[in-house]
Formats: sequence, C-alpha cells, structure tokens
Amino acid sequence: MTGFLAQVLNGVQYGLLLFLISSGLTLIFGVMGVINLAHGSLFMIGAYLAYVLTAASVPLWAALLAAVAGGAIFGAILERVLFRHFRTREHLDQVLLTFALILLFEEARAFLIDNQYHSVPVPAALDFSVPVVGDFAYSAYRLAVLAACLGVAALMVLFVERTRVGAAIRAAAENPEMVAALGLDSRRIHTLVFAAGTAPAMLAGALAAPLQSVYPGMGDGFLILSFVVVVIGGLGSIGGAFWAALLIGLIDTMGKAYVPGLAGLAVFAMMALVLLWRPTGLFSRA
Amino acid sequence: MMTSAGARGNLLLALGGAVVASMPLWAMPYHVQLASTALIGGMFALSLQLLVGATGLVSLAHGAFFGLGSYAVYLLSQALGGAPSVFLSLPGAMLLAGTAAAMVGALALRTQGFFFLMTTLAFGQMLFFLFHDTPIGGGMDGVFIPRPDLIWPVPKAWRAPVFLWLNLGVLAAMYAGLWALMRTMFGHALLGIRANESRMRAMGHDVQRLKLAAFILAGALAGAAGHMAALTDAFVSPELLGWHRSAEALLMVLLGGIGALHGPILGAIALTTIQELGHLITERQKLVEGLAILLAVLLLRHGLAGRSK
Amino acid sequence: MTGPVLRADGLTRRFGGIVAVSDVSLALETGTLHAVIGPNGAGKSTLVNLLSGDIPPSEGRIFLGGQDVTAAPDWRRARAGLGRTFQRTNVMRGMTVRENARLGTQAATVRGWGLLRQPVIEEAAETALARVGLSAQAGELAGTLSHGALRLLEIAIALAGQPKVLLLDEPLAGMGVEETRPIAALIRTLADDHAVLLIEHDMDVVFSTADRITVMVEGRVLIEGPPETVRASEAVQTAYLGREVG
Repeated sequence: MTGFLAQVLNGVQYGLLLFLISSGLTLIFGVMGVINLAHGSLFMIGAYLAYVLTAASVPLWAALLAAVAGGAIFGAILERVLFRHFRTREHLDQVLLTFALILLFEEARAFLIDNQYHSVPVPAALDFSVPVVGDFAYSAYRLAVLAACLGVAALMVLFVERTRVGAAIRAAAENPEMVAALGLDSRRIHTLVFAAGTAPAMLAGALAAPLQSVYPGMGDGFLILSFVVVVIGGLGSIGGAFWAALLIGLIDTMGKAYVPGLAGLAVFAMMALVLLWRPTGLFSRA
Repeated sequence: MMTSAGARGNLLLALGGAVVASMPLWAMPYHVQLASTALIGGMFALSLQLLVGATGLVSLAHGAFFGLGSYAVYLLSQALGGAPSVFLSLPGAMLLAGTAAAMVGALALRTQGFFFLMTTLAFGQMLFFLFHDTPIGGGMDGVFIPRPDLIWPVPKAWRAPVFLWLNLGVLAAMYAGLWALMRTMFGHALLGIRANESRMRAMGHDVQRLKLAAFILAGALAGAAGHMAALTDAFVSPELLGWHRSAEALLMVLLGGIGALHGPILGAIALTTIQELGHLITERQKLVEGLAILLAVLLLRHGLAGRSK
Repeated sequence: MTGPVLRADGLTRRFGGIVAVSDVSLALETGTLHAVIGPNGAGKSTLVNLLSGDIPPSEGRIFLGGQDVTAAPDWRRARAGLGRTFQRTNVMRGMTVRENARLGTQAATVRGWGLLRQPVIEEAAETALARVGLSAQAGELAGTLSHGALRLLEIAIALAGQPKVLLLDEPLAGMGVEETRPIAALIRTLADDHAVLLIEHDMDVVFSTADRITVMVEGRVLIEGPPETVRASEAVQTAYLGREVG
C-alpha cells in the first residue's frame, strides 16, 4: 500500500515536470505557430546548468533561479535571432531548424561540459523523509519539487488567464489582428511567449537534476512525452496540458512500476485512443 | 507542383548511375561501401518524397518504417533459424513496414499540420521503444544478423561491389516506379492535395483515403530501404527506427529539393558527403551536420534540384 | 425530376453562443435559379458551408436527391452530385487550367485502382471549360489567370464534376461592371440543367436573373418568394433593400 502511494506521488510529480515542459511547447505553438523540437534539449540544458552550478558549490535554489532567468533570456534570444524568421515558413523548415538546434546544443554541451553522466546531490536541508500517512514517508525534496511545480503551474495559469499580457497572448493565439487592436506589439508578445515557454522547461531540468542522473539524452524521453501531452491536452490549451500531463505522468509511472516492459507502450496506446475518440484533444473545447 | 526530371534529366541520372556502378573499378572499397550508404539513403529519402513533395505531409514516423524493414530480416531469420531468401525478406520487410504504416497512418491522418507531426513522432518513437526496451528485436545494443541469401552466394571480396549494384538496382527501380506513379491519376490527385486540400475535398476526392494510400506505400518503400540497409550492413539496432533518422531523411529531401522527384537522391548523396567530410576534418560530426542543416534551411530554399517552377 | 434535388429542413448553426443560421429551410429544383441575399453577417456563407458539408449543422436535416446527407462529409456530398464554388478563389494555382478541371471530373468518375491509369482528356472537363469560355486558356497555369478568369475557373471546376446542384458563393465578388454581365448570363444558363443556389450582393443581377429569392437577416429567413414578391415586401424594404439599394 505504501508502495502504491509512493508511486502515485511519483507519478504526479513526474506529470508536473512534464507539464512544465509541455506548457511551453503548447504556448509557443498556440501563439506563434512554431514547432520547437529542441524543446527537450532545453530540459537537458537546465539539468546541466544545475549540475555545473551546484558542483561549483552554488546552492540549488540559486541554480533554480538561474535556470528560470537564463531560460527566459535564452528563449528571448532564440526568438529574436531565429524563430521570428521561421514563423511563416513551412513545417519542414521548422522541423529541420529545430533538429539542427538539437545537434548544436548537444555539441555545445559536449564542448563546454562533457558527455558524461553526473549526479546532483539533493540539498542537505531537504535530504530527509516526511511521514505522510502511518509509516509511509516520502522524500522531502520530491515534495518540494511537487510544490514548486504546482506553484509555477498556478503562476502560468494566472499569467495567461488573468493578466493583460495573458489576454493578448490568448488573443494572439486566436486572432493576431486583435493584438494590434489591443494596442500591443505582437513582436514583443512573441518574444515574451518564447521566454515564458523556455524558462519552465529549463527550470524542470534543474528541478529534476537531483532526482535522476544528468546525462546527454535526458531530454529525449521528455520531448516525446510532452508531445503526447500536447496531443491529448489539445493544442494551445494550458489547462488541457495540465490535466494531460498528470494523466501521462501517472500512466507512465504506474506502468513502469507494475507492468515493466509495456510501460513505454501504455502512454502511446492512450494517445491512440484519444485520437480515435477526439482527434482535437481530450480537453479541447472544439 | 512537383516536377520529374524530363528526358534529359533522366539521361543525366542514368549517366550518374553508370558512374556509380563503375565505382568498384576505380574507387577504394571503403568508398564503394560509402556509395551503398548513400544509395540506401536515397531510397529512404525517395520514399519520404512521396509524402513531403507529392502529398505535402511531413512525417516523423518514417524512420520507424525504415527500421522495421531492417528488423524484418532479423525477425525472419529468427523464425526460420537461418538466413531467409531475399525473395522472402524483401517483400516481408515491405509488408511489415507497410502494415505498421497503415496502422500509424490511420490514426495520425485523423489530425493535421502540427498535430500530425507530433502524432507521427510519438508513434514512431513508440516503435523505437518497442525494439529498444523489449527483447523482441534482440535488445537495445543491436544485433548482428545473417544476410538474406541472394541467388548465388557472394564471396567476401565481391560483397561491396555486388551490394553496390544491388542497391543501385533497387534505387533505380524505386525511382522508375515513383516516376510512373506520379504520372497516374493517383499521382495527380496527391499533387492536388498538396496544392489545395480543401478544394480537392469539395470536388469529391476522398482525401483521407488517398493520403492513407500514399502513407502506406511510402512506409512500405521505406521498409524496402531498411531491408537493403540490413542486407548491406548485416547489423540492426534500435537507432534505425529513431526519429533522428526521420529528420535526416527530411534533410535529404530538403537538400535535394521538395519540388523534384529526383531531389532526394541528390540530397542523400550530398548529406552522405557532408557527413563524411565532417568525419574527416573534425570529430564533432553533429556540429558539421547541425551547421549544414542551418545553412540549408536558411539559404537553400529550392534544393539542389533547383526551382520547380 | 420529381421533388427538389436539394432540400434543407430547419437548419440551425451555432458558434458558441452566437446563432449564425437559425431555422432555415429551402428547396432547390433543377431549372431554378435560387438566390440568397442579405446584409453582411446574415449567415449566407455559413448556409453554403452547411449545405456543402464543410461544417455540420447544430440542428436540422439536409437531403440530396431524396437521401439524408446531414451526416455525410463534404466529399461524399460532392460525389452525390453537389458542386460548389468558393467566395475566395480556391483553385490549384500551380496546375494548369485543364488539370484543375480534370481533377474535378476525376473526383466524380474515377475510383480505387482505376486511379493507377494515366489521365485521359476528360470530355466533361473540356465541356465545363468550354461552357465558361476558358478553353483557349486550358493549357495555362491557373496562377497566371486574371481575377475574372479565376472566378470562371471556380465555376468550371464545379461543373467538371457534373453536379446536379451548384452552390455559387458570390461568384461575382471583385468583378468589374463590364465583367459582371456575361457571367450573370452564364449563371442564368447554368440553371437550365442544374439546381442553382446563388449567393450574391449585386441586387441588379439577383433581381434580373433569379427565379426565387430568399432574404436572410441575422441568420433567419425574412421572406422567400419570386423576385416581384420580395421586391414588393415592406419588411424587406425596411430591413434590407432600403439601406443598400436605396
């Protein structure tokens, strides 16, 4: 029973990390119509950033802040330099551009750091177990990750649903001309969206670093699963991405724990079902 | 609209083919092998052109069908307890890849645009994980396989040239077949979908079915390419199914030009050359490939085959 | 021919909270030119899209040749004899004029393995091009045609599928005065052997060519009848004609 509870919490926590990644993916596509296959690499970069900083005895919380700030700046630069010019290009061009970015990010990492596996220690202040129910205790760091992800998720929803800029973002997703009507500069909105989509992906990598090994291909699995999340959640929908990410996190974690070998397939079977039933996504309004 | 090489273009292609066929006479065995790799890349990219250039579908599952074609050889050799005949393994590979393409296509084609990309990526990776995470394909590190039997046994010294000629023959057959196909009403309907899907539907074309037919055929042809890779290398690994292979095939298509049927063949030769040069001058192959893609996407809008119209 | 070729019963379409088309019924018969007029936003284009199968109705039924096609997708309706043109020119610009028309005929006549044959010169496609007067330009790329010729190609593509019903969504949009007259005459002759639904803003054309007119306002049918009745209607005068025709 306690094992099951731990798996549920692990699944939720995994799902929330997935949400941090897929929310950016869905936001960027919804507003800009750009496909970013390099989104998984951002996760990897965030994790390596956490590794490098903590190895230089920077506390993890500072590394997390650095990942958010660095992600936002990096995203803004990427948008200004590259993605801005690819908004109206064909999907084929976007796919190949971002594939090139994956290769270049890999090389940059190999050049600046290395190709090795690393581990990032759990911060000492959180390196204990919290009793949850009865004799079931759960890692304090994992609980902190859970809380942090929920906090970010709440912030993102508030940002998109409640602020003026968020309204512009939603307008931009539906009707670009409305942005101009609201008196906002759509180019600024795009830079902002890219920054806001990149930061959580890098944060997710930094948060996950102490939970798993830090290694070159760590973003690949997350990229594919976050695509599944976006398909199930419905494109451009933050709320849909949230519930779909939780669903996929739970299915994947439970599958790995109880039916190893088939776990990888369970998620895709889920996606196949959604496509059969509602090709526009489980949580879309259409 | 996609053009096919005219009579003069086809003559040039045939000349190029003759040069490649003569390579065993003047080139080093290593380069003969490399030429085989390029030819297989050409088959793979050509099969993808049926989707990208002809129908306007950008699929990221194509690598999975290529890999399934390769693994068909392994699975057949396991079932038979030895090397299968090429007359069994080639159709078997195409059948396996085509069947998988039918299933993936039936689901993924319910979506469009970005969704189609994501679903093909996800289903392609599902097939990758099937071979990477389970023992059905001999494990994640790959496995050596017995080569399918040709009509006569091939002495070791003759392997590189014989495989080169074989690959050249298969590529030529594939090109000729697609060239003829694009001249049928089916081919014209695909071009119509690429040009204007909504109008084609309003005319009464069963667009879904036409797309699925193209997807299945392209998958089966990718399977044939994968089969030839397995036959040439006598080795299969899950990486053959990964989406990076799909991206590479898309790159070949883009390098060669989506406006021309023969573009992907030129693209495959170009990419193999770039990769090989990258290998020679630096250890950082991904850097070379990444920069090459970046340049291609930024500068080469119409591919090596030139503007279509 | 007995009964209407195309019949719509109580069509309603809502987008979110907005009702774009509300309880619209109409019947189209061969030999009849039926025009639908109304101010912008009256739901005319939505009506065409409902009839063609582009979007499903929220309520109501559609019958084509007596068969209920309410749930049939657009391409099935096209095969069952429903041809349409688009308000915004929607052709294959990279293909020749002939190829555009030929694909229209192919959709209606070639199925399955038959597609693996080489294309032949389709009589129906050539006839369609001749009927709209584009035969001389058959070999040219559609993208090089003038706007007026493209509007004619729109009609030719629909005709090439040998439909029983033609839905013409503002075929005269963007045309000059001197171009309008011959095309209006062409549309009139199309009604000889088709059931034609015409959406049009040009009141002169509508009142001089249509056999029946439906006036739509805010998604509803205000009045339906022959031109004289509609012209005489006070409701129409105040709600619509008074403003636009003066």
